[in-house]
Amino acid sequence: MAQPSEIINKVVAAFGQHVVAHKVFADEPYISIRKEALRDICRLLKDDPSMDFDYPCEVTAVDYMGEAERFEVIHVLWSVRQRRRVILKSRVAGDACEIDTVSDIWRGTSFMEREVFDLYGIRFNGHADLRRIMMTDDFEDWPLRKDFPIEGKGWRENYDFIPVVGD
Amino acid sequence: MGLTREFDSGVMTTTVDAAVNWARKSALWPMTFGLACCAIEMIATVAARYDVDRFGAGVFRGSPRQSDLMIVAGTLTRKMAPVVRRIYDQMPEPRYVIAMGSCATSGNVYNTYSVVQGVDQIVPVDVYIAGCPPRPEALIDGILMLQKKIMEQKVFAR
Repeated sequence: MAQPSEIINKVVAAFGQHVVAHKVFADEPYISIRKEALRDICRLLKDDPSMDFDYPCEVTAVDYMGEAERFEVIHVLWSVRQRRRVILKSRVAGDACEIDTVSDIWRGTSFMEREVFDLYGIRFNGHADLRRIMMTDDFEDWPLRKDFPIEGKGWRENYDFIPVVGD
Repeated sequence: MGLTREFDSGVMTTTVDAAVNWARKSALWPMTFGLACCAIEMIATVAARYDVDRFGAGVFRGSPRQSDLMIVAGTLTRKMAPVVRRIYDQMPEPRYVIAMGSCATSGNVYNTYSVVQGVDQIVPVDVYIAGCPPRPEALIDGILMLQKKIMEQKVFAR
C-alpha cells in the first residue's frame, strides 16, 4: 500500500512545476496544483497501478471571495484496492471561471461537476452535458457564491405560474 | 352532527347543508403527497397505530382528480411550487388544503433563496398545523378542525 508521501513524491516527480504546495494531514495527501495540469495528474493517479485511484469520491468547490484566484476546485479521489485517499486542490480565477473536466476519466464526476457549475458558476471545459442539475434551467445566479444573498434575489417570491382568474 | 331525530324510526329531518357537509367531511380523501420528513408522520398517521381512517380521511389517492384534501407535508421549494400548484388545480372542488408542519406554514428556519415561505403564498390553506414535524395526534387534530370547518360551510351559497 502506497504511503501518502510516496503518492506526493510521484506527482511531484512527474509534474513538479505544476505542484503549488503539498502536505500530509491525518495520513492523507493534500496536493495543491495548477489547474492546467489537472487532467494529466488525474490520469497519472488513475492509471499508475501503484496508486490506482479508481473512485472519485467528490468534486466540490470553495469560494474565497476577495482573493486573486477566487475559487478552489477540490477533487477527492479514493483507491478501492489501495485503500488510500488523495485530495487535489486547484485554484480558479473569478473572472476566467473555468477548469478542465475529468468526467471522461471518471464518468461518475459528471453530475458532481454539474453541481459545482450549478452552484458556483465554474465552467468545466470538455464536459459533454454541462447543464444545471438542481436549480431550474431559467435560474440566472450562482447561489453558493459568497456575494449571493441568502434570501436570493426575488426568485422565491416570483409565482408567475399561478393561473389568473378569467385567463 | 346537526341531525335531529323526530317522527318514527327511519325518518330524519335535517338541512341540506348539514347532510351534504356531513357527507363531505366523512369522506375526506387525501392525496398521497409528501415533500419531506413530515410525510413520514403522515404515513404514521395512516398506519394502524393512529389509523386516521377512523375519521374518514384514510383513503389516500394516487391522483389529485380523486382527492378532496391536499396535505402539504414538508418543505416547499420554489422549484416544486409550480408542481404543487398544478396538482391543486387538478383537484375537483370542493377541495381543502392542510399546511402540515412549520415548513409548509412559514418556511421554518429555511429563510433561503430556494424555499417558499409558506404554501399559502401559492395555494389557499384551510388549516395550519404547527410542529417540526407535527406528531400524528396533531395531524389528526388538524383534520378534525377541518371537519369542523366543513360543517360550517353553506353548500349553495356562493
